[in-house]
Amino acid sequence: MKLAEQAREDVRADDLIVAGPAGQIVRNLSFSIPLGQTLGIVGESGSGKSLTAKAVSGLLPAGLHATGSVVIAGTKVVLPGSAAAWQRLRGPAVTLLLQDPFTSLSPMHRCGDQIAWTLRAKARNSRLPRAEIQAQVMQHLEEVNLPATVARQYPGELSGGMRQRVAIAAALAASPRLLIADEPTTALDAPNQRDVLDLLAGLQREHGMAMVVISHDLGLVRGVADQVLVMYAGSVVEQGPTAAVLGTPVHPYTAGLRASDPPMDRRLERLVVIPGRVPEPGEQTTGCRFAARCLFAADACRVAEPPLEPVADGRLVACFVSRGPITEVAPAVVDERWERDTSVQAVIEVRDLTKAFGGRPALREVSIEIREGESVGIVGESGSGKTTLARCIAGLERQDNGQILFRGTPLTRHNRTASQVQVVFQDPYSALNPRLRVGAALSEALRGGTAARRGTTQEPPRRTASELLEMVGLPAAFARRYPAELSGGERQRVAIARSLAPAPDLLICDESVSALDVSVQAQILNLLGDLRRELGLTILFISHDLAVVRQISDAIYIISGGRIVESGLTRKVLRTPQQDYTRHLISAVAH
Amino acid sequence: MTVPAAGATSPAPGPARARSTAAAVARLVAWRVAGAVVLLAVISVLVFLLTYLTPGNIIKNITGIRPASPKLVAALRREYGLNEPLVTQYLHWLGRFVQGNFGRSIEDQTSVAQLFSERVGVTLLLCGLAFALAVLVSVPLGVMAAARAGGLIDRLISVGSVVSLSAPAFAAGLILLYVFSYYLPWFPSSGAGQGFLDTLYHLTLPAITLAVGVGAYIVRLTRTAMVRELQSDYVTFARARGLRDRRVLATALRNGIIPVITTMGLVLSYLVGATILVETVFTLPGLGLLLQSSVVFKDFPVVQFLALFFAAVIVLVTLAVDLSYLALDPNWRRQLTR
Amino acid sequence: MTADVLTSVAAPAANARKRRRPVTLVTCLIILGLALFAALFGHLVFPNATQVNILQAKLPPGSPGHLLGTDELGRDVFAISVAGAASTLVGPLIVAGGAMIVGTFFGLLAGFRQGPTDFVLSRITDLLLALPVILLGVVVAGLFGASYWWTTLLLIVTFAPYDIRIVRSGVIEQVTKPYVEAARLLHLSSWRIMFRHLLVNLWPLERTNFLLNYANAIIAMSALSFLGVGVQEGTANWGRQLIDGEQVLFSNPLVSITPAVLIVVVACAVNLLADALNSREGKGRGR
Repeated sequence: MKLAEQAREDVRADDLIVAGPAGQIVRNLSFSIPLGQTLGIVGESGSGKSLTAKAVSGLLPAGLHATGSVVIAGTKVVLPGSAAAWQRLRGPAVTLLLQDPFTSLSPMHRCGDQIAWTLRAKARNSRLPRAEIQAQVMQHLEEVNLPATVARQYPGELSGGMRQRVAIAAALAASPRLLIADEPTTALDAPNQRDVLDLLAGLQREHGMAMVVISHDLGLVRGVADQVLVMYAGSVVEQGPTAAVLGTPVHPYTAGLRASDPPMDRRLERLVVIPGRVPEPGEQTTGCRFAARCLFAADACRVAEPPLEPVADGRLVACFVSRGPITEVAPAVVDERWERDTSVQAVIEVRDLTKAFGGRPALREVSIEIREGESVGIVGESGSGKTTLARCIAGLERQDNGQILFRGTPLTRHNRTASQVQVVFQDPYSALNPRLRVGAALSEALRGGTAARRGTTQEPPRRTASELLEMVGLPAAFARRYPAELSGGERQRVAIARSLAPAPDLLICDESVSALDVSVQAQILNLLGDLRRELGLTILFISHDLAVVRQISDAIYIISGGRIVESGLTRKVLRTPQQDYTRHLISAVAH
Repeated sequence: MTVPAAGATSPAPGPARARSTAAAVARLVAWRVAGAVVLLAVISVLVFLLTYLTPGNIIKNITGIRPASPKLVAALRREYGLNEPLVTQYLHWLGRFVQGNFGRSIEDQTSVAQLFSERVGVTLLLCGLAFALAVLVSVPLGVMAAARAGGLIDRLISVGSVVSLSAPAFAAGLILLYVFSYYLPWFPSSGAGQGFLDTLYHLTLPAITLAVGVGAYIVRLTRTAMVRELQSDYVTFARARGLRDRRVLATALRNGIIPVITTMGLVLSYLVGATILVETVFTLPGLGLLLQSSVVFKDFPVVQFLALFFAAVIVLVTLAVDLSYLALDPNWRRQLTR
Repeated sequence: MTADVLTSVAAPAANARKRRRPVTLVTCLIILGLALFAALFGHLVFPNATQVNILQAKLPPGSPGHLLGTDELGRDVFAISVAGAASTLVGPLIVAGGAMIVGTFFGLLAGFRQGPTDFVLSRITDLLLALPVILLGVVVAGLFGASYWWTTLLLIVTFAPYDIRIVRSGVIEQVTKPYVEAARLLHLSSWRIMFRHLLVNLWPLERTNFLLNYANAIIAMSALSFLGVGVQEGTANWGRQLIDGEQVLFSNPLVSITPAVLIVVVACAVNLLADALNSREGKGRGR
């Protein structure tokens, strides 16, 4: 009797398929979550995880439709389901929490009102008195650790972390049986991520909800989910208890994903990568979707798609070849004995740099040094000033006070050239001129940059666009392509190639891998490492991600509130941090 | 453990903050008003120079068809200060203007002020009626089209609005005049009638003519703004937590209102200039026709006054729209204090 | 894809829209083709369109040899309408082109250079935008006696500020993007950045703007012709025909209604063309 009741309380999805004009995007997804438990859905971009979330809450965009069935709170909905049925379910049965806290709240309404709306919707036809609503709003704010004053504030007045909590409060005000959190912490900084996740876990226990957490971050999911579902290009490749799946993965993709994650405690010579790129949604392949990138691929894999089948210890795997945990070869670790060579001249020296934007200080007397051949990292949260620092060094912003010295000479507006500093930006999708072919963009960069050097003693090696492409691991045929034909990782490589065209003395990477999938991120980090070795490149790497910086930088500066908090050799700072803030950052990353 | 606060980006609300916001708002308002005044001053200079830039003898322009005896010419030269430097003349002119002395019509010597007051009522009523009609019909249509984007209603409204957009006031006016004043004599074909209700009756067809053309702009822009809002994350999140369609739509509208207000401002400015067309078609005794006849007659005092009046109305409307953003957008207000 | 979020719309609606598009596009192109033909060759087809023929005055529609009747001067309505296409449609084309060129040039400068250049240009634009187009035309043309081409020039000056605004905001939107900053870092010349990087990405905006300008210019110029500006009484010009025909509105309404309808149809075709191209562009774009 108890078991049957329990089973009725489960949240289930059966044979979920999402299809669009181009074909199937999500195929045959099924899961079952008991109340009080969490399911993690893991995948990279193009895996279909967000669409799954939308399908289960009836919010698919026009043009896409879902089939299969969903059972929530005892109600079964055969997809796609009528608008009326979903109107009844959304809120009390299932609520979706969106990824970006900066856009999920209405900018024109106060936070308290937005929470109150959910309460009124929940009350349906009965009109609750104002005082009652206000009291409940305060309760919900308290539940998410926000002060009562937030109710009168507009979302624009709050930080990302606070906004996400308001969103959580607004979502929970509906008292849903199932809460789906789509990348709930991706847009937040590391310390905030920790807090929000803990909050969600706590609230789930209190309210007795079932929860689905969608993320690309394995470590995050491991910390919060009871079961996990790994998706690749729309199909489930592995599914089962979290500890088993993520601890000892069976499917090659899961193993590859786990291995691509940069470790914080040691520096690898080369990061493990999954070669190739994710297929486009709707791109038709025969056989296993992962076969093209799989190290274990056999002939059988290219003929038919492997079904999801149970293997040992309660999990399901879709693979013809691998039937048990994959033993990984531990990648080679770098023997770190490097010390700073103070006799080498500093390429860039920043002295007491100060900059404010309309009264708000962004940099306060920052001083750093980057020597020839070094790879230096700057780590900080958003708003810490790290990007402003990079832009000042590059000449895209002008500092209010302080000096930037290039090989000893102060840089002014007039003595800058293209061959001094180049930048690789964060967003690969807007880093290239969409109307310019790759080859043309590179040729232009070669022409523009070398012109500045003509007449000086340093003639850069005469390169061609094809050589640049080869240097970044792209075939020469790519020169004829437009950016729209390239993936994110490929575009970032072209951006790197372009920035190398004028043979710069310093390459600044401003969050250059933050917008990429983990497997692609590893490829780019390896590329940067290779280029550094081959060309003797000096790199300044800006990031909020300590693990990434660990892999690529010899020396590190920690920045917060516009000031340098700590600096030194990367391995030393991360192993034995001297400052509280550094410790705080490190602890937030460790899962 | 001292950790730099990852909390609010701005200090908690309090009286000090409210005061600094109010001060910043007041500063902006003052800045904008000053800008409007400067703009009007520049326009007044251009208007003033009309008499002097127009080809032909200045005296001839002023005297018109009246015979110009040497004594009259000398008297006019003194009265208009034509012997003095241009700047002084401008200042005198401006001075007279500001004091309410707008001069007399060359044509029949009636005071410009009187001519103006006889006709301003018709024009203002016409504009007001057309604007009200346009807004009251178009905004709901635009919202409806966006809410059912891609459906039949949306397509009908979109096509309808493109056709109205393409129908200039005079073309539409003529067609309406023929159909409703002659073929089906439901409305009078000319004149402005006597008394308030009769005037309204006479102005119905002209107002509809104007409203049809500008209403289309409002429909399209409202639709575009609303479609964009309805695709936003906050709308998805609102639906995701069970909010009713009506609540969701209201939220989207509140967010999309600013571009809609901008359009309404542009439309009102355009209306002011377009009245001349319907006044011509329907023979209404308004400011537009007055301007046209004065231009033909080269009646400078009238032309100058009307030109400045129309420009002033447009500048004021633009100022009002600008300031409305302050009232409507709390985030804009807050940004001012940065 | 416009998301219909308040009523769940299944895929079929999207497909239906796709199938419908070419019809609108093709119809517009046909209409504009005919208009263009009339503008270019109208005077060859109807060389005597403006010849006065009092004996045939005020013939009602359907009279033998005069399908749409004649006006008060005995001229065939159909003939004069075809002949009037040139005057009505050519000037506005020049206005649209001229405004676009001026607008693009100054919009690029203002958006890219920013600072004082932007400030000055924006203030001038504000000034010009405060002057109502039609009234300005009436006053300036009436006082200075403008001809057709001077009126065209005047309209270029009054239309340009709108284009400057639009191009400027398009530029400002692009200028913060990484690919423009990368171009700056490569120390490419400002002109190269503005034309090779900014302008080419603004092309869809420019094209739509040009078409909308053209439609508005047709309307504005015919409005001015209607008011007697730039065009003599009796000229073959749709706006002019409209006012000339008001005298005989009740005996042969087609004298005025024909040009009215023609203006609406052609302007409509241009607007719909702009719309069709716009939504086509929106669909085709990948990331």
